[in-house]
Amino acid sequence: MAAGSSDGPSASLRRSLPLGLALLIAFSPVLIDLGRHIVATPWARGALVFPWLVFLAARADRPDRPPASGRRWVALALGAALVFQLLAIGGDAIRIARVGVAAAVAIGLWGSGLAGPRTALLALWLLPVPSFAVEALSPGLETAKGRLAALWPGLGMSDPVGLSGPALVTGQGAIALTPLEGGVVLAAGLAGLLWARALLRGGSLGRCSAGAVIGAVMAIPLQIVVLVALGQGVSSGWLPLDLARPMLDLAGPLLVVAGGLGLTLLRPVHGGRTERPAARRRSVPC
Amino acid sequence: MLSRRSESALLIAVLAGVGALSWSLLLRPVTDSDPTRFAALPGTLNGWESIELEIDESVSEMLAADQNVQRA
Repeated sequence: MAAGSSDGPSASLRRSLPLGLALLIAFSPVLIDLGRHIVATPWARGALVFPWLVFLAARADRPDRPPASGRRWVALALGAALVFQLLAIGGDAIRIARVGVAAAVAIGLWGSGLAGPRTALLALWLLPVPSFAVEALSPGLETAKGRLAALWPGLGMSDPVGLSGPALVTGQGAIALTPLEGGVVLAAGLAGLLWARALLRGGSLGRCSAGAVIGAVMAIPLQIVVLVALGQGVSSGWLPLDLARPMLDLAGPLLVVAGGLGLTLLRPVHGGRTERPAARRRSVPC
Repeated sequence: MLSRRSESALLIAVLAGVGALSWSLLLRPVTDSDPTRFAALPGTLNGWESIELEIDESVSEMLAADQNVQRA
């Protein structure tokens, strides 16, 4: 993983390739489970844009040299992730092993000097939000958002009877609200996007954190706007009722993926600092 | 002390070994349930009698259980 070996990048790549393949083989059970989860769960697909954002961020946020104890941390994180994976599979809970893999990726990026700590933290967004987090505040959260959306003229909220959950009532029928409309997934996705945006613009760790908080808060009104738009679309008849639910499932991930791809247009500020031309001129050797 | 090349070879071997072990754990045969015990559940309990109810196919699919017993 040496960044600046004397025998050129192709030789370095040739040496790293077997190690990369071995890593893929070692973590293949978790990676395949993650792939299946993303294929089967539309709302988890927003996570697909984060490998690209981590790649972009790593280019902009590469430290001059790896941290002094980085190698030790990488070995420790890798070992812990492998043991955690074996324990998780042995306990029939493979899904929790992905936490160890994401942590190992984050520590690996930082410890090997491939990226700074802000990019390493962005790597945690490679994981989709766990289902228990999506459902933790259900049905209270989606009901509250549905009630706010129902303030729009022509929309209303159903009175849940028996096992039926909350639903947004339109002129053409009711749109069932699921834990997804609680907005946890959208909040996490927007938080990651604004973290990446701040990073690519050279913001400090504090600015990245502030961006993440703003992104998470922005999800609340955005989710209500999406509910109102779809409810109004169904009410007015231009959107078939049976399409509303699939659209709600896909609106969040589409927004996050589109936003993430949009960040590609940002010109990254290298070194993670706000550009100061005068300071840079001084550092140029004569 | 191991050379850099030996270190890499050892690391690759360990990673491949963990991968193989993970897959063997993942694909280990599951313990089969014993369906005869369900059928042996008594139809009368403390003077209460039960009747078999056919379970709806969609419910059965959703539950994905090895065996279902539905009585009233």
